[in-house]
Amino acid sequence: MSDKLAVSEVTLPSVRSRRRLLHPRTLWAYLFVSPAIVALLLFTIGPILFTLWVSVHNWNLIEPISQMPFVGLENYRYLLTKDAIFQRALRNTFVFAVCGVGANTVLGLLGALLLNTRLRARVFWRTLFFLPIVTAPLALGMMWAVLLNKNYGLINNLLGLGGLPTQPFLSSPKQALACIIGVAVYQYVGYYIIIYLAGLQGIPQEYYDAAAVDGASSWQSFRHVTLPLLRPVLLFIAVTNTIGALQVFDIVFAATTGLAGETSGGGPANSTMVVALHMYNTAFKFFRMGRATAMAVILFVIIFVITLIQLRLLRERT
Amino acid sequence: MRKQTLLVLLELVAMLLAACGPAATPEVVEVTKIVEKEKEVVVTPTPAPVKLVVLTHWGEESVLKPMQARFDEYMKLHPNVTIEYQTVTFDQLLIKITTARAAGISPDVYHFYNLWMPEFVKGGMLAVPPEEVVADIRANYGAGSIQAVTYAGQIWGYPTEVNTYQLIYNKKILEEAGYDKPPETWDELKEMACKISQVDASGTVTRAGFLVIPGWDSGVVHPFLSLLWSNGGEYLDAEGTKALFDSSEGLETLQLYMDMLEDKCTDPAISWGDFPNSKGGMVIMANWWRATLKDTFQDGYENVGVAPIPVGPSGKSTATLQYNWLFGVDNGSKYRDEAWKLVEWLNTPAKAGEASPIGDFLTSALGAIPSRLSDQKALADRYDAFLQAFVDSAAVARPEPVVPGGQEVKTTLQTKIESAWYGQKSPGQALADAAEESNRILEEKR
Amino acid sequence: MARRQLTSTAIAGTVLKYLILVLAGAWMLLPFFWMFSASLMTSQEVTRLPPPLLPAQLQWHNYIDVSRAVPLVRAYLNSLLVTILTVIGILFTSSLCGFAFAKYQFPGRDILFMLVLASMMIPFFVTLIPVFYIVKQLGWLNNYAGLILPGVVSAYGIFLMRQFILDIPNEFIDAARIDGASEFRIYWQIIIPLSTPALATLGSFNFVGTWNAFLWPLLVAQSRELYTVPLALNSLRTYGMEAQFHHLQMAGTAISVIPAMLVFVALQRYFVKGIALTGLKG
Repeated sequence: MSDKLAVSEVTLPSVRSRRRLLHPRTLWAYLFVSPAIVALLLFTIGPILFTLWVSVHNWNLIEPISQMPFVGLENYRYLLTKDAIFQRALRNTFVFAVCGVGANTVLGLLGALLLNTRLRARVFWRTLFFLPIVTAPLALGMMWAVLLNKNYGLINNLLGLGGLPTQPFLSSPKQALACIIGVAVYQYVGYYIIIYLAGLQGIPQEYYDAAAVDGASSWQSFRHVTLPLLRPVLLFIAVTNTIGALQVFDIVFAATTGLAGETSGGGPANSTMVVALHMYNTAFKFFRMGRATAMAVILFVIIFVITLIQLRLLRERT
Repeated sequence: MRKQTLLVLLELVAMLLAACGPAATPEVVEVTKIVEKEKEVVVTPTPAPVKLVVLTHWGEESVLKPMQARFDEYMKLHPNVTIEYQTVTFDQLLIKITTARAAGISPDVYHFYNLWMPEFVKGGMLAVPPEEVVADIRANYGAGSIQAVTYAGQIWGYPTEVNTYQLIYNKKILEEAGYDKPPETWDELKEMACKISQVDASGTVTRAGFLVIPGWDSGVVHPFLSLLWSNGGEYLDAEGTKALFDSSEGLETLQLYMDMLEDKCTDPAISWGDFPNSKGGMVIMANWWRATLKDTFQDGYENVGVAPIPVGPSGKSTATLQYNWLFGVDNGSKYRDEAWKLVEWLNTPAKAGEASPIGDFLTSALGAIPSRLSDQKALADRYDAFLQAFVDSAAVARPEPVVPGGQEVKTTLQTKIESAWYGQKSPGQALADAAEESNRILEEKR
Repeated sequence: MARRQLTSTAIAGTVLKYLILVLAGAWMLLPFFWMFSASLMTSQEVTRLPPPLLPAQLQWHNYIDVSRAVPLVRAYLNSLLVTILTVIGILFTSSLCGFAFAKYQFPGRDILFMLVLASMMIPFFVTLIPVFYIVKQLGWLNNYAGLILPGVVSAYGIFLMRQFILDIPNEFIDAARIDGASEFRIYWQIIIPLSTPALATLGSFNFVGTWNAFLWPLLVAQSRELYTVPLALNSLRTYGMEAQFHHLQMAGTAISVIPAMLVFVALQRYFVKGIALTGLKG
């Protein structure tokens, strides 16, 4: 090692970099990264550029790309001003993401606090809460659609047993979105619990001891020790899960399509239509690729902005 | 070292699997056989193996099996033909056909809704039928059915089921409310619906006098059009380039729904699926629903009544909507001739006076009405009172307009009508928006 | 250490805690319980009003009926094949690429890594349509290549492995180099064994994610023989227009849910560690 260093100290920079380039190790490095980089270019970077390009054209997937008519920002204009379904989908998707993530943030924290206490068989409880996460969202959507069926669903049955009136659930434009949010909360609450638990267990006991010495009540130590130290974790998962939530598809697809006669899904009066589903319909039912890709771009911009906000907020904290 | 070879082997396996897939093409094998026939020696070539993929939306068990039986029969008659029968639900059918086309792996034969014909034809997806098929269709089908499968001056396939809409009602519920006849005018419809409706203490409708069918474009638009036409209104102009449903007659039609909604005589939360459970009194639906009603109608199938569409204040006589399905062949099919032979076999009777396989299937398993005239004659005894009423309605049935963009216009109209039902827009605004959007689509797709 | 006092509040607190846990646990289990129960009912029982909680008789034959209605066995094999190959691909490419980024200097390294970071930020469905088109042009539609290959590289995996491998002490690598080991040898015999925790985490997450993937296979797999388990389940969903097939649908769902559950129970530790890793590293 030392002799190599001596040599490089003496050589000129140009020689050094040339040597580095031709060094067999460097070639190995390029070999190691090339398959992955090629795949990323082909399946991720390339496509996003392609998406941007198609979004300013009209294309029906069948005719060759070279013949696509250029339409400028027409697709965007249409989506933002005239496509009532898209506007509804955008709103629903936002409500879904904000409510779902919000509910899970609170519930997850509560769950983690509970599991962080003296508890028997913690692993058992942890497994229980984690079960829905490893289940296919499609399967969960199916299971809950049957449970929430207004005529013979178990939930209405239980409500009836308790003397409460039965609810239309997925048949009602007012309740349908709440039901879908409920399914998503159900699926991911375990995920939040695990993260908070790990975060909670990372807080040194000394901080709590110091607070106790200062005479703080458990609520005060929660507010001034736990919450601030959990904040970066909280922020991180809230934001990453918002990004995931904005792309929701499987649950809505399972719960609102394929029923007798339903053609596009999205629930009564499009009350559960989400952007991903509308994009799927626009692209593969009406073959308006230009409009569908424009939808994707709009949502991507939103996600990008949220990511930037997250980075800003995280940096402020550390 | 062993691990390395294992990895390399795995990669090879992956590549091999990538190369093979279910899209393997059959090899053409020609074999000559020598057959002794009396004292002659005849050389007959065994036909090459043919694989046909057929796609329909008849995926439910009750209709899947009978159709599969027909294909099994054909395969017995033609041992060189293998038929792979695929089904998806109706709401996935259009996506499936078009995505398969985009993917380059279309089914050879598909059964599709005639509203999709313009887009299919413009996309070059449909194969032109051979002359004998066209001649057979012209000779053996009614004018309405022929028109329903013609686009751009060309017949594109065999018309199969023809469906119309009528007012289907629960005789028992109507009698209990004191009515021995179904409504004939809109005022009567409203009156009866409101009398039948039951509302509980919290104001929720527990039994709807009239049922709507939300969430489904045909479910919303077809009854709406039937009522519109019975009110003297128009849907599109004759060339199919302009929307005409935002007229006063159209507004009256939508207002009919709104009035019933306001008086709690109908409620979108109670839909057509609740009709067999006696949660609704009347609904405008099509004849293919017969199979379900026979199996599941709680008050007994004999209590299902069928009546013409009630006439509106601005209308003179009852009218209804008719739509057709057809069997067509994909333009990119490798076995076009064989595919047309299969389609022809399905749609023609083996012997004169008999029903064709599809006619038999439609009337027995589905409760649909076949389009072939000889089928209608041969199967007339299958028409119970329910089906007969629909058959009779053909006289006043107008075909759904088959124009480019027709499917999208329909979905637009559905969404806007629903937005009025759910109180998100006023009826006038909903129809005006729908008309504006439809005109855009029709203009663009022309 | 102060002895924990058995005050009445402490007892009440414990009781309350377990009560909440039991209720929450019941809520978690409810759909699964119903699914298994309904999968063993007859179709009349499932749609009866009011619906029963347990079947009168266990209709085990539902599980056989369901495999006849949709090609579940084939779907299982397809899912296994696709998932295993995808996961192997992800583990291999992520660790190799992560190793290169972590332990090598080469011109353009930082730019390429920025590329990886940028890819991490691009959500899947934004690239859906172009990838569909590219896959179609490559002729990979409706075969295994299209199901596996687009998913075989994960930017997130590369990132994760790089972070992990960064922490591996250089001495190991230098010692191996002095012994004359080739670069691939170093990767295979030093890096891989030392990264097993990260690999296990990455592998278990991607196993479940690929097994449950729906939208992409929905577009790629046009023929029944190619269906993965979620697709078979989806086709089952629409097998009957009315509710009379819910019992079969629940049986199908039960069958499809089991492998992911088993993998999870077996690899629980790595799931939890992985989530904690992501959450805390930010």
